[in-house]
Amino acid sequence: MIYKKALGLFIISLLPLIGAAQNQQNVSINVSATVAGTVEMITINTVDFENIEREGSVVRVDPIFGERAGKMIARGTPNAEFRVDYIRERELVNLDGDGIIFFNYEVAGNRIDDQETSELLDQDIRDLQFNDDGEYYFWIGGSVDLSDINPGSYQGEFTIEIEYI
Amino acid sequence: MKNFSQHIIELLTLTFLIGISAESAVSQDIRFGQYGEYTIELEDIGLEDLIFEGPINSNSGIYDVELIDSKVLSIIGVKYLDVDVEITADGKLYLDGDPSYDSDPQRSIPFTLQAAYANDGENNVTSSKPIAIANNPSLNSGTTRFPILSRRQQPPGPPPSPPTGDFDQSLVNETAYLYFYGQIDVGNVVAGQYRGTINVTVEYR
Repeated sequence: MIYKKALGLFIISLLPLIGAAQNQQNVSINVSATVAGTVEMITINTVDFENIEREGSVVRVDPIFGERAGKMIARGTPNAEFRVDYIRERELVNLDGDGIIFFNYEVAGNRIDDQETSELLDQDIRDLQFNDDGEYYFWIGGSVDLSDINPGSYQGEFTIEIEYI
Repeated sequence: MKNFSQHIIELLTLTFLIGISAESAVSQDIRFGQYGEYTIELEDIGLEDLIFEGPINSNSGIYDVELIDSKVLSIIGVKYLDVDVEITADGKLYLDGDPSYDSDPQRSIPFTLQAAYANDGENNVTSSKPIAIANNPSLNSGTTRFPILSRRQQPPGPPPSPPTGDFDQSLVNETAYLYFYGQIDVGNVVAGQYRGTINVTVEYR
């Protein structure tokens, strides 16, 4: 009788061990959302070629050291990283008659408001970062070949794209 | 006197038997799957995240992933067995998936998880049934139990054949589906990628 009871207890104690072998499966699912802040672009100065001295047929405004460079400020989310892209060559049209010229843009950028320490953004796409105040500074220069063009006043636009990453 | 003591013994015996009977009455739940070697598979269909599509701007409020656009998991197992499903998820999505931002409202987005299942053998959200999820600020959690294949109002069938050497589980397998969707409430948060995790566990009941 004592033997039977002992055997019964032994079988009961085995059951949880068998139960531990049951099949269980786990899967983890990632949930994601990308938040893009808004970006505001403010133009401070346009590129100024008026009465500029030139050597040969090419006129150039240096974006880092040129006083005539255009200036823009981007305002966004503090310390957020962003990507900038701009079209390097744009067409300028003669407002006074026939003729077009092609302007080659050069852009420099800086997290602080200091043109001379700015970095030339010479790749097609660059990853940059707003400063603690959510600002980033751009200086716009470039060059144009004025040989073989009609006299007149030429105008075009500069397009820069900024997107959060 | 002898009769009286005999009655007492009978009464005690009867009480004891009733006590045993009452105890055995709560043990009607037979877990066939617990002692069998049945396998169960939980598979990720699509391999993509549950993604709240943009563009999402700061302070822009509610964004939904609807049931029809759910993240889907499949459960492949013995069709006449029940499965327990346990679901837990972060109550927020965190900037760069970093949970240390839990108390930073500028770097976390409240996430309300919703879930459903379909056990009629088809991956079809229109026939799915909702799973109750408790949505707390720090945790979404819920559990449910259902047969791999719906019994359609019929009583449960006989217990499954023991998985002996002749047992081929693939002949009695069926697929059930789990659907995950929900919403986020985007407050005044910094730009960036926000991530969270849903953990799903299934096992035979």
